[in-house]
Amino acid sequence: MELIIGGSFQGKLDYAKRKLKDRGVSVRKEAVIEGADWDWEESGESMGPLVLNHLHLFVRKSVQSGAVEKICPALQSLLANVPDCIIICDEVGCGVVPIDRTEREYRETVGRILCFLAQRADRVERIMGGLPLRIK
Amino acid sequence: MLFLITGGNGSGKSAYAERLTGRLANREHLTEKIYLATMENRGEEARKRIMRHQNLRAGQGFTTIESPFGFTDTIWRVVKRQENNAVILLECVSNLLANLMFCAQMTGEQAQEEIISQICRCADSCTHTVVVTNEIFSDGNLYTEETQAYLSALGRVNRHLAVEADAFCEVVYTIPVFWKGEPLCQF
Repeated sequence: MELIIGGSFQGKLDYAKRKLKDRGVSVRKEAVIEGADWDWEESGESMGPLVLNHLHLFVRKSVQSGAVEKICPALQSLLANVPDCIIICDEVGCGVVPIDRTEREYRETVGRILCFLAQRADRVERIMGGLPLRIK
Repeated sequence: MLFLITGGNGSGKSAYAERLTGRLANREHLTEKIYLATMENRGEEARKRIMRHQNLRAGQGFTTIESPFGFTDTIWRVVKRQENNAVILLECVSNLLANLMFCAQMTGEQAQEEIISQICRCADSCTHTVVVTNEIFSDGNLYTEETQAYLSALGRVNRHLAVEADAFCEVVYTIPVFWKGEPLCQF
Protein backbone atom coordinates (compact mmCIF):
# COMPACT_ATOMS: atom_id res chain seq x y z
CA MET A 1 0.00 0.00 0.00
CA GLU A 2 1.10 3.48 -0.76
CA LEU A 3 0.00 6.45 1.28
CA ILE A 4 -0.26 9.92 -0.22
CA ILE A 5 -0.86 12.79 2.15
CA GLY A 6 -0.78 16.58 2.04
CA GLY A 7 -2.94 19.67 2.40
CA SER A 8 -6.13 20.14 0.45
CA PHE A 9 -5.97 21.28 -3.19
CA GLN A 10 -2.37 20.12 -3.69
CA GLY A 11 -2.94 17.71 -6.59
CA LYS A 12 -2.71 14.43 -4.66
CA LEU A 13 -5.20 12.48 -6.79
CA ASP A 14 -3.65 13.75 -10.04
CA TYR A 15 -0.29 12.60 -8.76
CA ALA A 16 -1.63 9.12 -7.90
CA LYS A 17 -3.22 8.81 -11.34
CA ARG A 18 0.00 9.92 -13.06
CA LYS A 19 1.88 7.28 -11.08
CA LEU A 20 -0.47 4.50 -12.09
CA LYS A 21 -0.39 5.65 -15.72
CA ASP A 22 3.43 5.61 -15.69
CA ARG A 23 3.26 2.02 -14.45
CA GLY A 24 0.97 1.15 -17.31
CA VAL A 25 -2.00 0.53 -15.01
CA SER A 26 -5.23 1.60 -16.62
CA VAL A 27 -7.46 3.09 -13.96
CA ARG A 28 -11.12 2.34 -14.43
CA LYS A 29 -13.44 4.97 -13.09
CA GLU A 30 -14.86 2.61 -10.46
CA ALA A 31 -11.35 1.82 -9.22
CA VAL A 32 -11.20 5.24 -7.59
CA ILE A 33 -13.53 5.54 -4.62
CA GLU A 34 -14.28 8.71 -2.71
CA GLY A 35 -13.91 8.37 1.05
CA ALA A 36 -17.29 10.02 1.57
CA ASP A 37 -18.94 7.32 -0.58
CA TRP A 38 -16.97 4.31 0.60
CA ASP A 39 -19.15 1.70 2.28
CA TRP A 40 -16.91 -1.28 2.90
CA GLU A 41 -19.61 -3.34 4.60
CA GLU A 42 -21.88 -3.05 1.61
CA SER A 43 -19.09 -4.02 -0.75
CA GLY A 44 -18.73 -7.08 1.51
CA GLU A 45 -15.85 -9.35 0.79
CA SER A 46 -15.46 -8.09 -2.77
CA MET A 47 -12.27 -6.34 -3.79
CA GLY A 48 -11.77 -2.85 -2.47
CA PRO A 49 -10.88 0.20 -4.55
CA LEU A 50 -7.47 0.57 -6.13
CA VAL A 51 -7.39 4.20 -5.09
CA LEU A 52 -9.17 5.39 -1.97
CA ASN A 53 -9.35 9.16 -2.25
CA HIS A 54 -10.18 11.64 0.54
CA LEU A 55 -9.83 9.07 3.32
CA HIS A 56 -10.38 11.92 5.80
CA LEU A 57 -13.98 12.20 4.57
CA PHE A 58 -14.53 8.51 5.30
CA VAL A 59 -13.18 9.13 8.79
CA ARG A 60 -15.36 12.20 9.12
CA LYS A 61 -18.46 10.26 8.14
CA SER A 62 -17.55 7.46 10.56
CA VAL A 63 -16.97 9.87 13.45
CA GLN A 64 -20.22 11.69 12.79
CA SER A 65 -22.20 8.48 12.71
CA GLY A 66 -20.51 7.06 15.80
CA ALA A 67 -18.77 4.29 13.87
CA VAL A 68 -15.16 5.08 14.70
CA GLU A 69 -14.38 1.51 15.71
CA LYS A 70 -15.25 0.33 12.21
CA ILE A 71 -12.55 2.40 10.48
CA CYS A 72 -9.60 0.14 11.24
CA PRO A 73 -11.34 -3.11 10.25
CA ALA A 74 -12.44 -1.46 7.00
CA LEU A 75 -8.89 -0.42 6.19
CA GLN A 76 -7.46 -3.77 7.25
CA SER A 77 -9.84 -5.53 4.89
CA LEU A 78 -8.84 -3.13 2.10
CA LEU A 79 -5.14 -3.83 2.72
CA ALA A 80 -5.81 -7.56 2.71
CA ASN A 81 -7.88 -7.46 -0.49
CA VAL A 82 -5.88 -4.89 -2.44
CA PRO A 83 -2.32 -4.92 -1.09
CA ASP A 84 -1.13 -2.56 -3.83
CA CYS A 85 -3.80 0.09 -3.26
CA ILE A 86 -3.11 3.79 -2.98
CA ILE A 87 -4.69 5.65 -0.09
CA ILE A 88 -4.96 9.43 -0.28
CA CYS A 89 -5.73 11.61 2.70
CA ASP A 90 -5.70 15.31 3.56
CA GLU A 91 -3.57 16.37 6.46
CA VAL A 92 -6.06 18.07 8.75
CA GLY A 93 -4.22 18.44 12.03
CA CYS A 94 -2.33 21.69 11.54
CA GLY A 95 -4.87 24.12 12.89
CA VAL A 96 -6.15 25.34 16.23
CA VAL A 97 -7.78 22.50 18.17
CA PRO A 98 -11.52 22.99 17.60
CA ILE A 99 -13.93 23.70 20.44
CA ASP A 100 -16.52 21.33 19.01
CA ARG A 101 -16.15 17.79 20.36
CA THR A 102 -16.96 15.99 17.12
CA GLU A 103 -14.54 18.20 15.16
CA ARG A 104 -11.82 17.46 17.72
CA GLU A 105 -12.49 13.75 17.52
CA TYR A 106 -12.48 13.88 13.72
CA ARG A 107 -9.04 15.48 13.50
CA GLU A 108 -7.55 13.32 16.21
CA THR A 109 -8.91 10.17 14.53
CA VAL A 110 -7.56 11.17 11.10
CA GLY A 111 -4.15 11.58 12.73
CA ARG A 112 -4.28 8.21 14.50
CA ILE A 113 -5.50 6.45 11.36
CA LEU A 114 -2.68 8.00 9.35
CA CYS A 115 -0.16 6.79 11.95
CA PHE A 116 -1.67 3.30 11.60
CA LEU A 117 -1.42 3.44 7.81
CA ALA A 118 2.02 5.07 7.65
CA GLN A 119 3.40 2.21 9.76
CA ARG A 120 2.01 -0.30 7.28
CA ALA A 121 2.72 1.59 4.06
CA ASP A 122 5.46 0.54 1.67
CA ARG A 123 5.86 4.14 0.70
CA VAL A 124 4.59 7.44 2.05
CA GLU A 125 4.67 10.60 -0.01
CA ARG A 126 3.69 14.10 0.92
CA ILE A 127 2.42 16.38 -1.84
CA MET A 128 2.82 20.14 -1.92
CA GLY A 129 2.19 22.31 -4.95
CA GLY A 130 1.68 19.13 -6.97
CA LEU A 131 5.18 17.89 -6.14
CA PRO A 132 5.96 14.76 -4.12
CA LEU A 133 8.39 14.40 -1.24
CA ARG A 134 8.98 10.81 -0.23
CA ILE A 135 9.08 10.55 3.55
CA LYS A 136 9.06 6.76 3.80
CA MET B 1 14.65 31.95 -13.07
CA LEU B 2 11.45 31.60 -11.08
CA PHE B 3 11.57 30.79 -7.37
CA LEU B 4 8.46 29.84 -5.42
CA ILE B 5 8.59 30.08 -1.63
CA THR B 6 5.87 28.77 0.64
CA GLY B 7 5.36 28.16 4.36
CA GLY B 8 2.88 28.59 7.18
CA ASN B 9 2.14 31.70 9.21
CA GLY B 10 5.20 33.02 11.00
CA SER B 11 7.47 30.42 9.38
CA GLY B 12 10.05 33.02 8.29
CA LYS B 13 9.23 32.64 4.60
CA SER B 14 9.29 36.40 3.95
CA ALA B 15 12.68 36.86 5.57
CA TYR B 16 13.98 33.89 3.61
CA ALA B 17 12.59 35.21 0.33
CA GLU B 18 14.23 38.58 0.98
CA ARG B 19 17.52 36.91 1.75
CA LEU B 20 17.29 34.83 -1.39
CA THR B 21 16.50 37.93 -3.44
CA GLY B 22 19.56 39.68 -2.02
CA ARG B 23 21.72 36.65 -2.70
CA LEU B 24 20.59 36.47 -6.32
CA ALA B 25 21.17 40.19 -6.83
CA ASN B 26 24.66 40.09 -5.31
CA ARG B 27 25.71 36.97 -7.13
CA GLU B 28 24.81 38.39 -10.50
CA HIS B 29 25.54 42.05 -9.84
CA LEU B 30 21.96 43.13 -10.37
CA THR B 31 21.51 46.55 -8.83
CA GLU B 32 17.73 46.63 -8.45
CA LYS B 33 15.57 44.71 -6.02
CA ILE B 34 11.91 45.42 -6.62
CA TYR B 35 9.42 44.45 -3.93
CA LEU B 36 5.82 44.11 -5.08
CA ALA B 37 3.72 44.57 -1.96
CA THR B 38 0.22 43.16 -2.21
CA MET B 39 -1.26 43.83 1.20
CA GLU B 40 -3.85 46.60 1.25
CA ASN B 41 -3.24 49.16 3.92
CA ARG B 42 -6.56 48.80 5.72
CA GLY B 43 -7.09 48.63 9.44
CA GLU B 44 -4.77 48.56 12.42
CA GLU B 45 -3.68 44.94 12.07
CA ALA B 46 -2.74 45.34 8.40
CA ARG B 47 -0.80 48.50 9.23
CA LYS B 48 1.18 46.71 11.94
CA ARG B 49 1.90 43.78 9.67
CA ILE B 50 3.03 46.10 6.88
CA MET B 51 5.27 48.01 9.28
CA ARG B 52 6.86 44.77 10.47
CA HIS B 53 7.63 43.83 6.89
CA GLN B 54 8.92 47.32 6.07
CA ASN B 55 11.27 47.10 9.04
CA LEU B 56 12.45 43.69 7.88
CA ARG B 57 13.32 45.14 4.48
CA ALA B 58 14.76 48.40 5.80
CA GLY B 59 18.30 49.04 4.68
CA GLN B 60 18.29 46.17 2.21
CA GLY B 61 17.85 48.45 -0.79
CA PHE B 62 14.44 47.31 -1.96
CA THR B 63 12.30 49.54 -4.14
CA THR B 64 8.77 48.92 -2.91
CA ILE B 65 5.82 49.17 -5.28
CA GLU B 66 2.29 48.90 -3.93
CA SER B 67 0.57 46.33 -6.08
CA PRO B 68 -2.57 44.99 -4.40
CA PHE B 69 -3.92 43.79 -7.75
CA GLY B 70 -0.62 42.59 -9.15
CA PHE B 71 0.99 43.98 -12.24
CA THR B 72 -0.65 47.12 -13.61
CA ASP B 73 0.57 48.90 -16.78
CA THR B 74 2.62 51.26 -14.63
CA ILE B 75 4.28 48.35 -12.87
CA TRP B 76 5.00 46.59 -16.14
CA ARG B 77 6.72 49.77 -17.37
CA VAL B 78 8.92 49.89 -14.26
CA VAL B 79 9.68 46.18 -14.52
CA LYS B 80 10.40 46.46 -18.26
CA ARG B 81 12.95 49.24 -17.66
CA GLN B 82 14.80 47.05 -15.17
CA GLU B 83 14.16 43.60 -16.54
CA ASN B 84 17.80 42.70 -17.08
CA ASN B 85 18.99 44.38 -13.98
CA ALA B 86 16.53 43.46 -11.26
CA VAL B 87 15.28 40.71 -9.02
CA ILE B 88 11.52 40.94 -8.57
CA LEU B 89 10.05 39.81 -5.25
CA LEU B 90 6.28 39.44 -5.13
CA GLU B 91 4.73 38.95 -1.72
CA CYS B 92 2.37 37.26 -1.48
CA VAL B 93 0.05 35.31 -3.73
CA SER B 94 -2.55 34.73 -1.01
CA ASN B 95 -3.12 38.49 -0.54
CA LEU B 96 -3.14 39.12 -4.24
CA LEU B 97 -5.73 36.39 -4.77
CA ALA B 98 -7.93 37.68 -1.94
CA ASN B 99 -7.80 41.20 -3.40
CA LEU B 100 -8.72 39.99 -6.88
CA MET B 101 -11.55 37.77 -5.64
CA PHE B 102 -13.02 39.78 -2.82
CA CYS B 103 -12.24 43.40 -3.85
CA ALA B 104 -12.09 43.18 -7.64
CA GLN B 105 -14.94 40.61 -7.59
CA MET B 106 -13.26 38.11 -9.89
CA THR B 107 -14.25 34.45 -9.69
CA GLY B 108 -11.65 32.06 -8.32
CA GLU B 109 -10.92 30.81 -11.82
CA GLN B 110 -10.52 34.28 -13.32
CA ALA B 111 -8.27 35.33 -10.46
CA GLN B 112 -6.08 32.21 -10.61
CA GLU B 113 -5.58 32.57 -14.37
CA GLU B 114 -4.80 36.28 -13.98
CA ILE B 115 -2.15 35.59 -11.33
CA ILE B 116 -0.61 32.69 -13.22
CA SER B 117 -0.34 34.71 -16.44
CA GLN B 118 1.09 37.78 -14.65
CA ILE B 119 3.74 35.80 -12.83
CA CYS B 120 4.69 33.69 -15.84
CA ARG B 121 5.02 36.86 -17.94
CA CYS B 122 7.24 38.41 -15.29
CA ALA B 123 9.36 35.27 -15.04
CA ASP B 124 9.73 35.24 -18.82
CA SER B 125 10.91 38.81 -19.09
CA CYS B 126 13.00 39.27 -15.92
CA THR B 127 16.26 37.66 -14.89
CA HIS B 128 14.90 36.44 -11.56
CA THR B 129 11.46 36.42 -10.03
CA VAL B 130 10.87 35.33 -6.44
CA VAL B 131 7.25 34.65 -5.45
CA VAL B 132 6.00 34.09 -1.92
CA THR B 133 2.82 32.12 -1.38
CA ASN B 134 1.10 30.67 1.66
CA GLU B 135 0.50 27.22 3.10
CA ILE B 136 -3.05 27.26 4.45
CA PHE B 137 -4.33 23.87 3.39
CA SER B 138 -3.93 21.62 6.40
CA ASP B 139 -6.20 22.89 9.17
CA GLY B 140 -8.99 20.43 8.43
CA ASN B 141 -11.72 23.08 8.30
CA LEU B 142 -14.53 22.85 5.80
CA TYR B 143 -15.21 26.47 4.99
CA THR B 144 -18.02 28.28 3.19
CA GLU B 145 -18.26 27.84 -0.55
CA GLU B 146 -16.61 31.20 -1.13
CA THR B 147 -13.61 30.34 1.02
CA GLN B 148 -13.33 26.84 -0.47
CA ALA B 149 -13.22 28.50 -3.91
CA TYR B 150 -10.43 30.75 -2.64
CA LEU B 151 -8.46 27.77 -1.29
CA SER B 152 -9.00 25.86 -4.51
CA ALA B 153 -7.72 28.81 -6.58
CA LEU B 154 -4.67 29.27 -4.35
CA GLY B 155 -3.91 25.55 -4.60
CA ARG B 156 -4.19 25.75 -8.37
CA VAL B 157 -1.85 28.76 -8.57
CA ASN B 158 0.68 27.04 -6.29
CA ARG B 159 0.60 23.83 -8.31
CA HIS B 160 1.00 25.67 -11.60
CA LEU B 161 3.84 27.84 -10.33
CA ALA B 162 5.58 24.87 -8.70
CA VAL B 163 5.70 23.21 -12.12
CA GLU B 164 6.95 26.38 -13.83
CA ALA B 165 9.43 27.25 -11.09
CA ASP B 166 13.12 26.40 -11.21
CA ALA B 167 13.03 25.99 -7.45
CA PHE B 168 10.19 25.42 -4.98
CA CYS B 169 10.95 25.80 -1.31
CA GLU B 170 8.90 25.35 1.84
CA VAL B 171 10.24 27.33 4.78
CA VAL B 172 9.70 25.42 8.02
CA TYR B 173 10.47 27.78 10.91
CA THR B 174 13.47 29.32 9.16
CA ILE B 175 14.63 26.02 7.63
CA PRO B 176 14.34 26.01 3.83
CA VAL B 177 13.13 22.62 2.57
CA PHE B 178 13.59 22.37 -1.18
CA TRP B 179 10.87 20.34 -2.89
CA LYS B 180 12.44 21.17 -6.22
CA GLY B 181 15.74 22.71 -7.28
CA GLU B 182 18.94 23.31 -5.37
CA PRO B 183 19.14 25.14 -2.06
CA LEU B 184 20.66 28.50 -2.90
CA CYS B 185 21.15 29.92 0.53
CA GLN B 186 20.47 29.26 4.17
CA PHE B 187 18.21 31.41 6.30
